[in-house]
Amino acid sequence: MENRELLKVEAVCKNFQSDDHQSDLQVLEDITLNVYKNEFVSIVGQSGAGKSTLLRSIAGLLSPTTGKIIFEDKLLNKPDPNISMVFQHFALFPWLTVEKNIAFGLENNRGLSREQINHRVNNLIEMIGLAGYEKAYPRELSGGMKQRVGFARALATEPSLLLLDEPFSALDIVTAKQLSEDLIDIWLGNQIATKSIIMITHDVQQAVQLSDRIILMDSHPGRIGKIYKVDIPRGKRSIKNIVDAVEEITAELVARITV
Amino acid sequence: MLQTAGIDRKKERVRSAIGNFILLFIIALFVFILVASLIKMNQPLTKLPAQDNLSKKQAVGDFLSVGNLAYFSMRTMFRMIVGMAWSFLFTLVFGVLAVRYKTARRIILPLVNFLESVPLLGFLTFTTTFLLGLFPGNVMGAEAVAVFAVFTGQAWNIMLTLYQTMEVVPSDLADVTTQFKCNAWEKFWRLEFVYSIPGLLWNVVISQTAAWFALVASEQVTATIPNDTNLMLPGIGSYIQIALDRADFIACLWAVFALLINVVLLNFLVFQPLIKASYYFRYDEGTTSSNPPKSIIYDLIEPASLGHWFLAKFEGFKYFWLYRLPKVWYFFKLDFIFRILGKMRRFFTTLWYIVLGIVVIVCAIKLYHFLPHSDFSIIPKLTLYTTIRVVIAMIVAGLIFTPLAVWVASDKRRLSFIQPIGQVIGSIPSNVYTPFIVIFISLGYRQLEWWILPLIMVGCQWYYFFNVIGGYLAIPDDIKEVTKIFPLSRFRWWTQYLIPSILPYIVTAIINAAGAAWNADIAAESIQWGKNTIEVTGLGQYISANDGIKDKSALGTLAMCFVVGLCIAFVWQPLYKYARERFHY
Repeated sequence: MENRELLKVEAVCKNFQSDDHQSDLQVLEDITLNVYKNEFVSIVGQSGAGKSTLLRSIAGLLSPTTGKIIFEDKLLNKPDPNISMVFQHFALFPWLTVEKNIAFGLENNRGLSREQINHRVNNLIEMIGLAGYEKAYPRELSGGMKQRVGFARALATEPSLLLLDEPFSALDIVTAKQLSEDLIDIWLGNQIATKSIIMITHDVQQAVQLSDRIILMDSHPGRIGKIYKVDIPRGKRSIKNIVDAVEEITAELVARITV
Repeated sequence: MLQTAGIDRKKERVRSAIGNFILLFIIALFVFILVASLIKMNQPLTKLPAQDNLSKKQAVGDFLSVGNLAYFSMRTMFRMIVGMAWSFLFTLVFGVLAVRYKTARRIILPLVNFLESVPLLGFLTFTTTFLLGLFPGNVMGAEAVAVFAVFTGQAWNIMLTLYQTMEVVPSDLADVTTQFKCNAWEKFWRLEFVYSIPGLLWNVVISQTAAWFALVASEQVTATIPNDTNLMLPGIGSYIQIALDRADFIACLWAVFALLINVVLLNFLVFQPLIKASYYFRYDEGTTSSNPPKSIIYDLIEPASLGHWFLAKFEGFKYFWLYRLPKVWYFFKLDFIFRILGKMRRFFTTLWYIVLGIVVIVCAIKLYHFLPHSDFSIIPKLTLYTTIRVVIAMIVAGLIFTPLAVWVASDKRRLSFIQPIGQVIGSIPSNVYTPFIVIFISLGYRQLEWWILPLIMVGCQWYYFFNVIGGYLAIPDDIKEVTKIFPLSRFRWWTQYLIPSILPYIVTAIINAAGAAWNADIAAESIQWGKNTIEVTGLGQYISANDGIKDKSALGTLAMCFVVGLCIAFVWQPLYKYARERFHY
């Protein structure tokens, strides 16, 4: 496995102004974190631990108050075309068809002709399992299919880093399992340009099932609590042999809950 | 199998042909209205008939012939369309400026809030002088007055809608546009504008009343050119005015009928299909109680091959609009200039307050010398009378139409049946009802006094009706279910569930209704019926009695603005803020 960092988060702090404009609310405190190439990292933690803030900072949607984020050896201070994000509630445009939604990020800023865009979109539709739904509108799709569109849109720009913000938590268990397995297959099969994935989740079992490393975040202010490495090779993981790891992390999570 | 496929294809082709035919018909109709009106418009002003000549029975008797109404409808419709186009343009430019630049917002929002509530009728004397000056001696000038009236009836409302929806664009979608590095131009057209379309359309439909009202009112007041004759533009509004002058009740009925047909046509051919098309743009809010809109025309046009051809062409245009056009902007480094301007926020804020202060002082001094001092003593009394009338009418209208709207909205079948009818009736401007009240009064030898109240109410009641329906539908489904599972007494149902749930909507309704009520009152305080003038004492009567006399008109208008301004600053704004913060889901 190639062991070079794709992303370096260095001593990042993030403050938000509180409602009364008097004091600052610290959301992230001194986050330092490396994500290597070909790595799947999950972030778990209590609600309000700043997971989303961290992910949005990496996406370039928020800028850190102090500290810096380095992506592909360059300082990151605005959204990077090589980073894409998948949203919990899909964030699809209701007025665009499936194919137009997927092409959303391709239409601007890139030197792609319309034929190239169509080609890429059609490939993704095949790969993600959306064939036959090209002309459908999001409201006509089930939750699972909507999130497939969400994944396809994020992957369309061929990002090397994919950010997932609780991508499966709005889906039922069976759909979530199927979709996550499909994602891993596509990723491991090198069908996409994506090198690494960062995922936020509340589901510890899912995190263990999918990840190489799991980062447990503490809250108020959000900081890195503990980091677990999943040793069982990804292909050999089953509900039975990951149960110890799941229990250990869950117990740790509960122990760290602050009221 | 093969045969049925063949039949299906045949059916499809027939449906497409029908759709093409209807689409072409609608396009041709509106192109015809635009072109024909434009040709007729470019005439010297002296060609227009004067009100005094038309009012005499023996003179040019054919002005009131029913056959004229078709042509008049066309001209009125033309003004409506052009006025809407201007409102739309205004909305885009100033709505976006208000959202993007805090400095611009400081100026635009208070001004628009104020203009929204100020009755336009008070300003007619001044806008007329100005707009006639733009096209000296040409009918275009008079047309511009009427078009401007439509504009003032709608533009403010529509712009505020755009502003408000752009403020609440879902943050997820906004994140997606940022993530994919859309610039401000792309972000607006690909997200914010499309997201606002359903709301914008809905508001255009609701504010039609105000637009038709303004149109009917301004065709009949029109121009006092140098020798002080009232000129009549060909249109339904002037038709009504002449019918009133001649005390011709049958002609009044015909005019109302013609106006109704106009309203129905515009809704049926344009708004209903558009609303249905934009229904699919809606972002899900977790309420299922609203019915999907219906439109026969939309269903017929949908399979038209011509429509699909247009859409395909539109794709290419969209590409040009989104990605090619802004290059000009960036080529001239205009973004750079705007960024610098945006950075000088504090400078502009200070400048704005200084300029505002100076302007207010200068205007106050100038106005004080300009206004007729002799009338100062009577103005407070007139203002008080008018205000009392407006307030009473608004309260009564609210008490009747809020429960009515809740009753209608609470049942899906009832709603889908009554709402379209309400929309058509609601679009009829209040000044159309004048003849009926007049007949009633003159038959019974009564005074106008209290009979003015229904005339004000028809002007403002529909704002309650539509806003409350909207509010009821916006209550989340699970909250509605909770109130069903835990039955409340009638009294608690209203006080603890319904009124708090829809309070922001009621406040919006009151704000909208206030503007319309002032307008209706100003128009209704002095009515012509044949040779008789029926009036009540009030500001509206003062303004219409002094129509064309600038200093007195200014005084009346100013008094009105003063009251309206006080209401906005000390009642509506705080109430709205309170309702928004305290009662929302």
